[in-house]
Amino acid sequence: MANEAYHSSEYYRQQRSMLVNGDPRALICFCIDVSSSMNEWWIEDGGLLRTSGKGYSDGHNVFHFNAETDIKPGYAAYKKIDKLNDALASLLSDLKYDKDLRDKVAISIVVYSRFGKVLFDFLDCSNVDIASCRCTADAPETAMGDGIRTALSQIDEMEKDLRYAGKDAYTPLLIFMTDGTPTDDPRNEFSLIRERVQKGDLHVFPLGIGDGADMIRLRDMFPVGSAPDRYTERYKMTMPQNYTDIFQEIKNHIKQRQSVMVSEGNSRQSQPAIEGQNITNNQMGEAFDYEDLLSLM
Amino acid sequence: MNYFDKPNNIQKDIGNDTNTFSNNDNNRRPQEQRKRKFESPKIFTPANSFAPIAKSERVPYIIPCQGQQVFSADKTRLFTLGAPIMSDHSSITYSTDNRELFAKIYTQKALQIDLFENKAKRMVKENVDIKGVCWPKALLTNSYGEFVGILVPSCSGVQLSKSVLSGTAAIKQFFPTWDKRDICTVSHTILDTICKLQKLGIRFGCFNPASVYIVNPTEVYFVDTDSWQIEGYPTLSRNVTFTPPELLSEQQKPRLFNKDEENYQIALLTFMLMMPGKYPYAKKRRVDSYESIKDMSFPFSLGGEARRSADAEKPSGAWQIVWDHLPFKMCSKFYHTFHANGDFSKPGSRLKDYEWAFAVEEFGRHLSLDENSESRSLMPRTFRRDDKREFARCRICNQEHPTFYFLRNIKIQNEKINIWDRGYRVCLPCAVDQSDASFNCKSCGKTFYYTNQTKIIHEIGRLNFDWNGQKWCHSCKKHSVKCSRCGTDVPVYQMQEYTDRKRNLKKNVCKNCFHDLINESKKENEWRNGIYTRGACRQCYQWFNITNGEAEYFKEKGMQLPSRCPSCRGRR
Repeated sequence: MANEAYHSSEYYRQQRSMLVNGDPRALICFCIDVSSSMNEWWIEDGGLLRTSGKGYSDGHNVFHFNAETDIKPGYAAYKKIDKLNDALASLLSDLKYDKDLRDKVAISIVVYSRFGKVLFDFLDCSNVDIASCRCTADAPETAMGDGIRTALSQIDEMEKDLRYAGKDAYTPLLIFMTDGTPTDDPRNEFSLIRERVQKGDLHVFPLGIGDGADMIRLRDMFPVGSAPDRYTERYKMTMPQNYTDIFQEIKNHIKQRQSVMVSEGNSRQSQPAIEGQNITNNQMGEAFDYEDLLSLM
Repeated sequence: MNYFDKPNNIQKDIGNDTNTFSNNDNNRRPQEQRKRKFESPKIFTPANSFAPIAKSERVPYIIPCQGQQVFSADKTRLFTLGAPIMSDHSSITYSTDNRELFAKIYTQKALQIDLFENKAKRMVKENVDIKGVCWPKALLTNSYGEFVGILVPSCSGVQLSKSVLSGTAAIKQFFPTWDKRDICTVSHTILDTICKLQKLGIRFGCFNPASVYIVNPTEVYFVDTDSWQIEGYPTLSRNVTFTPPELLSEQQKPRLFNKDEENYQIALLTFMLMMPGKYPYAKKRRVDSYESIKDMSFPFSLGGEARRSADAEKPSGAWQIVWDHLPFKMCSKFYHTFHANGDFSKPGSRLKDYEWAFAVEEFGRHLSLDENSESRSLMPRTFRRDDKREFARCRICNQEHPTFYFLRNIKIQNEKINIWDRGYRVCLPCAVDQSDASFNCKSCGKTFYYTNQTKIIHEIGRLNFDWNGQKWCHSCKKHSVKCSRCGTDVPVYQMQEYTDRKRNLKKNVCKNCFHDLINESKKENEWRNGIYTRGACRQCYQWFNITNGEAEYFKEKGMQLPSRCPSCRGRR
C-alpha cells in the first residue's frame, strides 16, 4: 500500500545521514526493561530506617516507605530507572562527543514492560538528542520475549537499510537489561539470540539490574561455554559504581570493534604486545604461531 | 593549492623521477617507457622457498623497556628508551633520546626463533633510501650484547586504516580541509612508494594499512618494514581484507606471496583509497565477509553488458554517485579486477602496480584541471556532469540532478501516472524523504511522517484525503503477541488489558476474549446479586435478603449465614 509509506523522524534523519556519510556503521540496540519494578528504590544494605507497610507488585514483595525520611543519611539509594537513565545518558553523551565513534555508531532504544516497543529508531550518535532518550516505568509486567523480538527485528530492519544503501556494517550489539524475571515465556527468543551469537551475527551484553535480576536465566543468552568469566558478578548492576564500570566496558568493547576495519568481519585479530591510551596498535589480522614457522622447515 | 596543481614541487618530492608527473599531457611519456622505470635491478631476490628458521641459540634474558638502555650492534651508540609509541603482536616501538630514531624491541616470545634476527640482519645489510620508508638502520642489543630489536627512523601521522580507509567522517576528523584531489595525491604518494619498493624486490606479504602513517598528502610513512616479506622470510600475520580470494580457503599458515598476489592487494588498496571506506565486495544477503570475497561479488557496473555481480547488492545513494565521478578507465580497471568474470580477476592476469599509480595520477591531474568540478568533493551530492546528461532542479532539496535521478511515475490504483509531465520535479532521495504530513499511532503513541512520494500520490489521487485516517503504524500492525486467554497471535494494537478485580490480576487479552470476559463478569455480577435465601432478622423481625455473593463469602470463611439484617448488624 503506497499510502502507508511513513516513518518516524529518526528514520528520515538516519537515511539523510547515510546519504552523505558513507562510513560503515556499528549498530547498538538497547533493550530496556521498564516494568513498574524499575520505579522501585535500591537502598544499600542497612540503609532503611523504617517501613510503613508491605505490598506485592510485579511478581515480588515490596516495602513502602518515605524516601525523604526513612533512608539513613550516607547510604547509597536510588530509583533503578533514574540510575539507568543517568548511566544511559552518560554513555550516549560519551559516544556522541567521541570523535572516532560519533559518525560510525547508530543507536536504537527498545523498551518492554507489557509489550516491547521502539522508543527510539536507529540514528547516528552525532544526531541523537540525549534528552529524548529517557525511559519511564510502565506496566507491572516484564514481557522479555516480546522485547527481544522487537529489538532483533529492529536490528534486522536497519541492517537491511544499510545493505540497500551500500553501507558496510559491523556486527551489531544488543544490550539487554532487566531487573527481574520474565512474565512471558522467552525461551524461543533466547535461543534465537544464542544462534546469532554462535554464528557471530550478534554481540550481546545481558545486564541484570538490582538484586532481583535472574542472572542464571540471562546467562542462557550465551551459547554453552561462551559466557564471559565471572558473568554473574560482573554483569549485575547494584552499586552505583557497577553502572559506570559496565557502561565503560561496553564503550571499550565498541571502540575495540571499531578499531578493526569492517572488511575484517569476525576474523580473529591478534592483540598487540602492549596496549595503552597513547600507544598505537599497528596489528591488523591474525599473527601466525611461532611454532608454525618452525614446522615450515 | 593542491599537489597536482604544482608540478615543480612534485619533481622535488620524488627526487630521481623528475619526469614522472608533468601537468602537461604532451610531455607524458609513453606507457612502455614509464613501465621501464619500474623495471630496474632488484636488490632483494624474491624467493620461492622459505629461508631457514630455527629456534634461537640464545634467547635474551633481559628485554629492555622504557627508561632502560639499548646498544647498537657495533657498540658505538647507546640509546635510552622513551615512552612506547606503537606496538604489534611481536614488538613494541619506543621513542629514544634521539628524536629522529625509534627503537623497535621484540618480545621475548618472538626472540625464541631466529627469524627476526636473521631478517633484520639481511635488511640492515641493504641501504634502502626511499622517502617515507622506515627501513631498519641498525641492530640493537641489550647490555649483554644479545639481539633485542632494530633501530628505525622516527615517524608521525595518522594510520591509513583509521583515516582514509575508515571513510569520509574519519577523513574530515583528521584532515578537515581535504578533498578528492588530496585523496588522489596521498594515494599517488602511497602507490609510488609501493612501486619503488616492488622495484627493489620488496614485497608486503599481506598489506597492513595500520602500519602506514599519513602526515599530509605528500608525506606518508611506511613503518613495521621488518614485517614485510623479504626474500625467503615471510610476513608474520595475515588479514582477511587484503588476502586474495583464491587464498582465503587455504588454511591460515605462513606463505610467500608472489607478484600477482601483491598486485591484487595494490588494486584493492587503490579501490579503497578512491572510494574511501568502501570495500569492493558486497553480497545481497547478510553473509560473512569471507563469502563475499571468495565469490567476488562486485556491486558496481560499467553500463552495457558489464553489469554488477548477480549476487551483489545494488549500491544506492552516496556510493553510486562516488563511483560515477571516477574516470571510466579507472572504473573499468576496478570492474575487471574485482568482478568474478572480469578480464583481470583471475590469478596471473592482474594489472601491475604501476598501472594503478598511473590511473590515480591521471585522475588527480583531471581534477586539478577541472576548476568547479563536483568530482572534487569527497562525497559528491549529485552525478557527474557531461554533455549527454540533462540536469533539472529538485523542488524539495533545490539541488540539480540528472533527469534519470528524478521520480517519473507513480502508481495509483494500478494506474501508472507520469508525474514528470505534470511538473513534479522530485529527485529520488527526496521522494523517500520526510514530508510535512504526519499521524500519531494510537497504539505506541509515536508520530510518523509520510514520504514526499506518498504525499504526491494523495495530492493527485485523493484531494480530500484525511491524513488522520491512519490509526496504527506498521510495526504495531506487524507486532503480534499471544492472547493470555485463548493463546492466538493478535496484533498488539488489538490487545486490551482486562483487570480482574476479584483476583487482583491484569491480563492482556484479544478483543473477543475481552468481550467474553466482560460478559462473564456481568453474568457473575448478576448471579452474585441474585437472592440466595430470605430470612427474618432475629432482632428487629424484619425480612431481609441474603445474596449468592454473601452466601459464597460466608461459606468460604466457614461461617454460618447471618441471622440479623444488615442494619442490625451494622448497629452491633
